[in-house]
Amino acid sequence: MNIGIKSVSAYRPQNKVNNLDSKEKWNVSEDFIKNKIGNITLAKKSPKEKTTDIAKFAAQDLFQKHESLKDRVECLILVTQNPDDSGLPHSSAILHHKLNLSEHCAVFDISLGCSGYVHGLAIAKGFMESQGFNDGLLITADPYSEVIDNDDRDTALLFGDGATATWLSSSPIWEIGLCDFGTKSDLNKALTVVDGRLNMKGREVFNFAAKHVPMSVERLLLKSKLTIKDIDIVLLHQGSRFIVETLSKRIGSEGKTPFASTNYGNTVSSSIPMMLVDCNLNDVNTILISGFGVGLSWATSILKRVEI
Amino acid sequence: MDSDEIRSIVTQVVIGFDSKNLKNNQSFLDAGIDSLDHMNILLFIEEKMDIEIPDEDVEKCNSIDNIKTYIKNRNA
Repeated sequence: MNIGIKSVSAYRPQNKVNNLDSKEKWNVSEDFIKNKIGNITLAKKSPKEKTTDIAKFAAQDLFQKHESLKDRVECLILVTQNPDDSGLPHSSAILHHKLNLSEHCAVFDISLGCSGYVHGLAIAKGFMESQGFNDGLLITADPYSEVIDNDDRDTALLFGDGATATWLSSSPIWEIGLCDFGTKSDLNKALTVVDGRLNMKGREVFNFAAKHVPMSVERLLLKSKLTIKDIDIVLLHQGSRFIVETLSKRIGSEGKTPFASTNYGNTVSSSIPMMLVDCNLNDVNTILISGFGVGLSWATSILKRVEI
Repeated sequence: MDSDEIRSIVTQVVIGFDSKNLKNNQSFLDAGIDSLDHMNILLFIEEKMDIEIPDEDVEKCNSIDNIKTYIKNRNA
């Protein structure tokens, strides 16, 4: 049995904040916002909406696309670090209830940020294969609007809200390959929430990503007996246009490393699966994905189209 | 590290920037190099010189001349 990705859905709130409207506030130019930050608008959920509400919308979209899926879900895994209320009960249990899924379903949260989707794929794959499961859901929903300080120049222009739902199946379209994981825990204070507010040491996070993500990619390609030329598209966590472009130069993947979050922002663990939804993958057979951030941690993997 | 090496890093990092006209004593900010590109320039220098430039020293390394002085003082 080989668990992989069968389908992905995304949800982005309709409400948007325009970064260009605050360029005077931050004393930055329009060029800086468009070409360095990259996000023109940021999607924002309603303050009344909880993490499980936006997660529900993503899952429901997946159920609408695949009618028989809902009754077959054997596990539901939610990646978030902004749980509903206190985090107890786990938000995946609350989501399970909102989706009215079968009680014969393993349900748990994964507490990871921007590296969460790639970690989540590996965890879900291992869990499902070990238990003989055929159908599972991996949900990402981490609305940073819950913790953003709107007066913090380092973060207010970056993060948007959104959620995704991935159908993991024993009859996949994309195989999940080997992974490369890592944690530089000596840098764990570079991204924190203190007194309910996000703090980010931008230079530390940038230096970490610029050094460690290319090394992770190189290790994984070597382990997979591939080169960057064998990869059709590189989907990096959408921290900002600046970090994506910096990394694509260091990885050697310029021209096949899209920046896709212009209209909704950095959605944390949702950023990679959102590109699986939005990017044209018709002629793509091999995808390299890499998430990096909170921890500070990284996870890189390769997805291969299943040959029919 | 000499001026030409630092200038070459600036050219490599700052897309579309003509570093030929960047004076050695001109601050990057005055030359139109933003804080993110400045951060990237310093990362290249850290990697080339195998040093770490702490956050409190970033503003000391804000021009070609100041970077040269900083590295010289670090090596002394």
